[in-house]
This record gives sequence, structure tokens and C-alpha cells, in this order.
Amino acid sequence: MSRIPRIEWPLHIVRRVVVGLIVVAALAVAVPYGAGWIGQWRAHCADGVVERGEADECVGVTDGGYAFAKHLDSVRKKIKKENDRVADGDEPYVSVAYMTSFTLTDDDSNSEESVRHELEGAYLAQYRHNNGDLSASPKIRLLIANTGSSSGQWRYTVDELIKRKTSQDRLVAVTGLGPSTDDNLAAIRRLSQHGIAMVASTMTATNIKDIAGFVRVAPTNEDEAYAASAYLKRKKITSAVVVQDTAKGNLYARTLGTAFSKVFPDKGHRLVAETMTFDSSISSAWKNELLYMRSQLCEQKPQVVYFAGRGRHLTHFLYAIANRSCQERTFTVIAGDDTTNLTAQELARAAKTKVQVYYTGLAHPDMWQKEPDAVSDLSAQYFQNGGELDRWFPNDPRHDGQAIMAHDAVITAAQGVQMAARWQGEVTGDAVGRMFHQMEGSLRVAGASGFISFRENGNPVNKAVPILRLDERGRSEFVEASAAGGKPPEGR
Amino acid sequence: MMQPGSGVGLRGRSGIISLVQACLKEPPTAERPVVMLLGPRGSGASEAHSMLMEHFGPEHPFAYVNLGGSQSLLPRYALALLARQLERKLPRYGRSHFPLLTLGLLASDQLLRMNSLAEGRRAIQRQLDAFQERSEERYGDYLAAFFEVASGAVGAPDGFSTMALALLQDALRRGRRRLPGRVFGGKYSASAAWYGSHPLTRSQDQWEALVELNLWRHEGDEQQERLDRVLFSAFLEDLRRNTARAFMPRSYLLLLDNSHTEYGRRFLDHLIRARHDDAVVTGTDCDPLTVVASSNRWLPRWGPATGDAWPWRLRGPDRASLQDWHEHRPTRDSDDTWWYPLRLRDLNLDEVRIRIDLELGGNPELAPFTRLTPFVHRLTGGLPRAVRQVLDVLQQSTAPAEDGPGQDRWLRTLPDQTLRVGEDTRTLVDAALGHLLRGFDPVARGALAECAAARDLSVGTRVLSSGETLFGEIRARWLLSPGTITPTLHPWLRRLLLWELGRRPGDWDTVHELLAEHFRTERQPVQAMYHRLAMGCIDEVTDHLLLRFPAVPTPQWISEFSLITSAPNRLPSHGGPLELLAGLAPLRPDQAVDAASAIRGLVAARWVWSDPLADPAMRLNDLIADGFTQLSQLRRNDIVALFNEAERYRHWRHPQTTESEG
Repeated sequence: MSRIPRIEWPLHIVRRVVVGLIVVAALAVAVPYGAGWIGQWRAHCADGVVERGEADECVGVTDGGYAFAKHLDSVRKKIKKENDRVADGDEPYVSVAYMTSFTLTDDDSNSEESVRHELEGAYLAQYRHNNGDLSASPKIRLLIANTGSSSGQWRYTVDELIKRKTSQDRLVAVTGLGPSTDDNLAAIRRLSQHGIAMVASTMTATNIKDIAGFVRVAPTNEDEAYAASAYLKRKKITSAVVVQDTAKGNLYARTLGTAFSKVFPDKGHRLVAETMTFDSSISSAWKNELLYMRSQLCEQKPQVVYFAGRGRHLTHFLYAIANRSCQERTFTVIAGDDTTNLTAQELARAAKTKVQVYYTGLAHPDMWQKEPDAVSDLSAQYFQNGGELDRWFPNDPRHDGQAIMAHDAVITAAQGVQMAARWQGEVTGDAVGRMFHQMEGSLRVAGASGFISFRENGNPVNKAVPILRLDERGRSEFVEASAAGGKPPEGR
Repeated sequence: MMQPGSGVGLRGRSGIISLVQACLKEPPTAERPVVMLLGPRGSGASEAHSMLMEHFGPEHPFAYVNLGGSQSLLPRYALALLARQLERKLPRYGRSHFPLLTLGLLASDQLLRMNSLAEGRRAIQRQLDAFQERSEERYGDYLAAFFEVASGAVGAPDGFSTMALALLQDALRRGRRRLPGRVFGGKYSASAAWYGSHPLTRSQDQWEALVELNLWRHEGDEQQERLDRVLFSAFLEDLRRNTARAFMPRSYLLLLDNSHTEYGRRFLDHLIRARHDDAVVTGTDCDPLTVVASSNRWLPRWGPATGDAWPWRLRGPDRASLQDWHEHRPTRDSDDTWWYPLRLRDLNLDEVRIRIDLELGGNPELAPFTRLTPFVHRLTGGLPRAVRQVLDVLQQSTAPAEDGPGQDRWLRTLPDQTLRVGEDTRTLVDAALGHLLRGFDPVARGALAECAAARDLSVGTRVLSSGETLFGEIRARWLLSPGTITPTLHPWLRRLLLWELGRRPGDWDTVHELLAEHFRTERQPVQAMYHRLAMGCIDEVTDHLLLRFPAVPTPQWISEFSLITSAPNRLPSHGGPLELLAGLAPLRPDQAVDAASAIRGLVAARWVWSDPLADPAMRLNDLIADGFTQLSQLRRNDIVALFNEAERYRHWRHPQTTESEG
């Protein structure tokens, strides 16, 4: 008989050791799992919303039941009410999310005002699609998606959105999408991989294009620079200089500066000096760099300074040149749309510098009055004084145009939904994404910021670019509508 | 009060403990002895079993069977009882199984009916199942059924500690409750195949082999013997298979009490034979049993009780060890090679002292009795049960606890004091003799009492015509005093028998007269004087010793004096030593001291002194010492021995053993 080697260890000790090891192993598995579960439970803010990041901000997706920020309450409650009505109703519905950073810190280029205005505009679009003049089927529920400050928690929020694609929410499109940053671009790519249609509202970086299902209603930076150049030339401005932020990752500044430097100089127009640069990522230096420029400007004497940088850096630039040595010379500064992200307070301070400031905005409520052909009548009326938005959200001036851009983004998505339902019978993210490229001619999106159709790469075709001026009270004043091609397309 | 046996049993038995420990630690296939604890009744064998159970029971699988119980126990029943206890689950080890033994017992349990072999296989399985189920329904499991039948044999005898009893009950209760049948898969085939291949079964077919077992059971003694051999073989094989597994013990401890009985001897015969067949004849591994058996008498299979025909000489337990066994065991060709006979010795003075201290020292009322240790040791010779009985009498009685004449007078009557054991109340002498001489009829006991008058029992039996049988029986029961060349009865037994004989004054005198006459004829005057003194002839003895005093060297005279004055007495059963002495040799102040008066006084004092019941506290020591001093003054030369003897008594030190004095 073959013998198995005898083991003479005390069985009860062996049992205890084995049981101990099993317990330890179980604990080794259970403790992290349990800790993770407890962590998750503690981090739970609401269904689909969790506490994340160093600032412990609540990020994720809500149908309006959860408040990401107090200042959003009035619009959030309306959205919640409308969503519930749609969900409880008999008509078919799909969901469209509005995603951006709703919990803001000093690191964000957007202000609380601007994101609130965006959400108000988005709600208007939902309302118009479900109940108003554009009433169509299927109805849409508007989900509010917060990616956190600087979109630092985009991954969790995007994953939550992806989950809702197949849940009862039936998510088909995500709109808004925040400013042009690497994180937001990553979020777009992931959503695209999961077949969700996207419409960006204020994203202008030129290089964000050629992504499946993605379009934007804002003109690109390049378009803005071209429109600015066209406007200056119409105003007989012949000399200019470019001040550009060279901070790494600031695509907005680089594309603006490059495009303007490329398009402005011609036979009758010239850049009187090399591009003057500062690096906003070096916090100890950039303010001094801006101060140093004022003497150069006095020396070079350009008629216009094209400022290719973020709005918050623009205000410092304005302070710098306000105290210039050549007070006898007047400077006109023209900047890009990021100026609209400045708060009313910041704009007022900038106005006090007495420097003439123009900027290319994304939209303006007065555009309809002064250039009625450039925008949709029906859409623009909602943004006028005493319009629906004013009645719903009084005492909240929306000169920054953010509400219009958000509205146009959601209305684009809603039109996509409607067209997909009508033409393909099935409303999916992919189907909605395909519809964006059918929006031509009479099917152009009748936006409050202009009539919108899209190129294959997702950019709008010759989108109207409002030239705005900062008035003495720090409010943006509509000057005229420009466009990359010179004049914007007309509705009629 | 301390529980009987708890801790006490270890005293004087440590050699046995270390021997068993060494056996249990040996590898499973190592050869181990069958340790035989030999000694008269009361020599502490049952206590030793209790002690081993206490010591090893909590950690090792053990089984205990009392083969001397009131109920006869067939070997297969004993096997079932042992297997059931060995199945006890211990924390340290996995559970042991006995599938071969169980199947063998099951197959031989009831008559199996089979018309043809082909039909028989299924029938056997069916019938085995049915037996098993019936047993299970009635008793819980199959081996438990044997427990029900033979439970009387498990009952522990007197001397077991409560802890040992608890362990034993635990072993029985915690035997496996599940059916062993499940272990062999309910289909019996694996175990049945072993029976098919066993050399004792004729048929190679496993099912036919089982039927064969069944037939043996119902076919007379010879075949039943064969069946028992196969079952023992199965038992040992089960043990071997158990120890071959991981997490199992190296050895199993088997405690067989009172194995000198008929069924005990049969059990041991089968066990030794099965082991010898396996380990020597067929050359398989030795079984892993550590066997400790006890016997109150010489076993017939060892030849005559003289021990001349047996290769073994009894070994002392103090130096018992595996090495000692290996050095002294006979060649492996003989099955005597497996024995290891250990003669349980009496307790020495120190061991008795420790026992008494442990038992009485903790009780303030009884603590004074601890001073009686030398008395108890002198009286009992250190026989463990005798010590126990004397202590019990002291605890149960109203004996004066304080040392003094009152206590002396009470102790004088100690044999007639009552001893309660359970509901049985008898005098100490009756209880002790009843236990020591169990199986002796009153006539034989009376005859033995007469023979006990002689120091040499062989002379007593010859002179008094009691025959060789009585002497042989006493020798076979180890009731002779160990360590003496002269075959003398154990001092405790002899004293009790003489106490009984003392109640028959006529017989006392007759017996001693006959013996004195015998020794006179044999020209052994010292022995003759011994018996004359027993008859109370002090003057005659004095005259004899007076004549010898100048005639022989002093040391020889002292030796003769000591032997003569160690004679038994039939003095009154009341009064302390001084009162007894006064009755024998009244002091006469007016008398001048001469050799005759000095020797007379010495004879009387030494005679009283030599009986522990007459002088329990040895109060006559100084008197005897003075007597020797007086004698030394009456002699001109060769007086050093007398001085020494005087010193010896004056500064008396109790000897460790009783073989040398009194």
C-alpha cells in the first residue's frame, strides 16, 4: 500500500491556522471592499451623484432632483418639474444631458453666472421642444451633468451618462460640454465611443473636430479671428499687434493668435510688431510681462491690439495699458469670446480703464434687433427683455450670450431627435448624430445665435459672430454681426 | 478532602508513566511491549490505570476495559468496547475508524441466510444493512449496541479518580454517533475484500469469506476461536490504517484491568497472537497499540509460578523503559518477546508520607494523623490499598487525633475498627482480608491463618499439612513478601491473619507449639524460641538468650535476639505499650540489675515494640536502648555492638522499607 506521508501537526492547531488564514484572506478581500463600499456610501450625494475630488464636490448626473449649486435652484426646479411631467406622461421620450462644470472654483474660466445662464437657455430649449412653439415628439428629458471643477471628474460623470443610455432615461445626446480643455476633449471622445450624439455650446478650439456624433454651435476660434479681422478691415483699421498667451495647453489663445496673424496682414494692413507673448502658466511672471508690453505698445503705436488670451488675463492687460506712458494715444483692444465669461463686476472694472474694448462673442440678444436676418426671429424673441427667460428668471441679465448658445445646442439636439424619430423611426445616439449633417437648407437649426448647419468635421458653416463692445457701464453692447466669410448667412 | 487517586497515584509509579509516554511517542510501526503490571490485589494496578488515564487521556486516544468485572466479556465484545472508545474525537487528531472490525462484527452477529452464492451477495448486503439499521434504531450506532450489552465491563473498579471516571465516560459518550457503515460506503466491498484475502478464511471471495465468518460464529468453540483471531487481526489492521493517515496519533493506549480472569487471559492470548502473526510471521508492520494490562496473579501461559520456565524475570517499575524492554526481551521468534512484566512494588516510607500528607494534610482536623506515617508504613508494609484502607478508617473513626496514650490504646484495636465502603460496613481486618483473599473459602482462609504463624510459609504449610496447593496459590497471587529469600507472607496479610488467629487462642497455641516442636526437631533453636515467645513463654526465652549471651559473639546474639523478639503476640487488645509491658515484666525496684533481669526486660520490651499495633509510636525505643546499655555494662568485652544497638534504638530512624525490621 502506498503511504501518504504522515503529517503530525496538531489538527486543532492546523484547523485554527487554516480558519485563521481563511478569515484573514476573507478580511483581506472584504475590508478593502467594505472600505470601498463605506467610502462609496459616504460619498453618496444622490442617485448618480457622488462626492469626488480634493474639494469633495458632488459630481454626476441628476434629473434636477439634486442641486449641484444653490444659485442653480430656480432653473433646476423647473427642469425637474418638466422631466417628471415627461416621465409621467404618455408620450415617448428620450433624454438629452447638459454637461459642464457646475461646481466652480477659482481655477475655472467660467463663472457661476455663465453656467447658470447656460442651464437657463438649455431649459428654454427643452420647454420649446416639449410644449412650446417647436413642440415635437419624442419629448425630451433634460439631465444635468456636472463634471466638477475644471472637469476634473469627467470620467465618473461620463460613465454615469453612458449607463443612462440603456436605462429608462434613454439618453441619446449630451450638450454643453464645457470649455475647450483636454479633459473635456477626453470626455467627448469617450461619449463618442459609446455612440452618444454631442452638441457643444461654447467650445471654440479649432482642433476639436472630426469626432463621430460631435457638432458645435459656436464658431471656432479661427472663425472668430477671421470675423474680427473682417470687422477691423471694414472699419479701416490698418495696423495691429497681437498679444498672445503662450501657456502650454491654452489652445484657445494659440488658435486665436495664429489665425489673426495669418488673416489680418495684406496689402493695406500690417502687424506693426512681432507677436507679444506672455505665459499665464507662470504665475509669478505673467503680470509683469503684461506691464512690460505697455511701453512697447507706446513705441510701436498700433491702432488695435488683438488680445489672444483668456478674459481674466485681459482685465490685467487692460489695467496695465491704462497706466501707459503715452496717455495721448488711444488704444483699441479686440479680444475673443472668452471675455463673455467675465462677471459683470470684472467687466465693470475693465470698463473703468477707459480702453476701448471689442470682442468677438458667441451670441448676443441684441443681434436680432440690429441684424434681424442673421438670427431666427422665433428663437431670438425668447431672449429679449420681457421675453420668456426674463419672466422665468428675472433680475439675471444675460448679455454674455451663454444662454443663447446653450439654447441653440439643446435645440440642435432636440431637432436631431425629432428628425431621427421621423426619418429613422428609432431614436438612438448614433441616429441623432447622423441627423446633424442633414440640417441644411430649410432644416438648418433656427438658433438664436444664428442659422446653423454643420460641416462634416462638426464645425458650423460660416456661423454669425457678433462683434461686441464693452460700454462704460461694463456691459457688452452689440456692434454688428460678422462671420469668418465676412457676413453671416441670412434666414431668408 | 482530596479525591481518591488524584495525584496520589503518581507516587511510586513514575517509571510506568515515562514508559507509556515513550511508547506513545514511538513511530506508528515501531514495536511496543505489552506492559503487564503484576502484583497482589491492592498493589495499585487499578490506580495505575486511573493515573495513566488521567495523564494521557485528555490528549491521546485510549480505551479501558475491566476484564475482572462481574460480567464475563467475550473477546469480540471487548474489541467492540475498545473500538468505540478509541473512536473518540480528540481536538489534536482526526477521528479514528474501525470499518474492518465493524464489518466483521456485523457479519458474525446474526445468522446469515444464503441459498446460493450469486443470490447471496445481494442477500448478505441486504441482511447486513438490516442488522445495522436495527442496531442503529435501538442504540444509535452499531458499536453502541455492544456497549449496551457489555457496559458492565467498562465500569471502573475502586481506586479510580473522579477525573479518570469523567474521561472514561466521555470516551464512551463521545464515541462516534454516526454509523461506521457509512465509512465503508454502505457497500462493504472494500472491507469485505480484506476478509477475502485473510489467510484464515478459506474462500478468496469476499462475500463467501463473510459467510464463513458467520458460520464460525455458530459452529462451536474451535471455530469461534478462529473468528476471534480474524476479528483481532481486523482490529489491528484498522489501527494500522488509522495511524498511516495524516493528523492521526502515533499510538493508541489500551488499558486492560484485571486481565488475569478467564476472558482477560483469552483476550491477551488473542492480542499477543495477532500481533505476533502480523509483525513476525507475516512480516507486516507492528500494530500501533500501547498496551498496559494488569494481573493479580501469575498467568498459566507463562509456565509454573516459580517463573523457571519463562524467559522473563519480573522487572521493577522504577527503572522501566523501552530500552530496558529491548535489552531484556526474549528473541522475536517467541511470542514471549512482547511481554514486559513489571512487579508493582510496595510504597516506601516517603511515598506513604506523601500520600498521607496529600490526603489528610489539607484538613485541619485530620492533619495530626500525618504523624502516624511510620506506624501506617510499618503496619501495612506500604501496600497501596492497605494504606488507603487504614487512612479511610482513621478518617471515618473518632480516633484521638493527638499523639499520646489514648491514641495508642485506640490504635491497638485498629483491625477491629469498622470500615465503611459504600453501604458495606465491616471491620478493617475483615474488609482487608476479604479483598486480599478474594476467592478463598473460609476453610482455606482459616488454614492460611494457621500457616501464617510460621515466618516461612512453606514450612507452615508443610508442618500444618495444608498442602502445596495453598502455597502455590499464595505465590501465584504474589501474596508473598517481595524481596525476601524466605517465602514469607506479605507483612500486612500476615498481621491480619495472625490477628484472626489470635481470636482462636487454642489454635494459636497449638500452631505455635507444633512449629516450635518442628524447629526443635530441626535443631533450629532460634526459630523454636520465636514460636515459644509467641506463646508467651518469656522466661524460657530469657533463659535461652541468657545462655547464649556469653557463648556467642555479640552481633550474633543481637541477631538471634531480634529474630526471636519479632515473634507475633496475642497480647490483650486493650492498653498502650507501657501497660502491655507492665503486664509482661513488672518493674521491681528492689531487684538488683543482673544479666537475667536485663535480658528479660529487653525481651519483653522488644516483643511489644516489634508489633506496630502494640507500640504504634515506638515509645519503647528508649527502654530498649537502656536495656542494651545495661547489658553492655555486664560484659567486659565485645560490647561495641551493644553500644551501637543502644544508639540505634535511642536515635531511631524508620527504615524506608519493612523488609529489615519488625
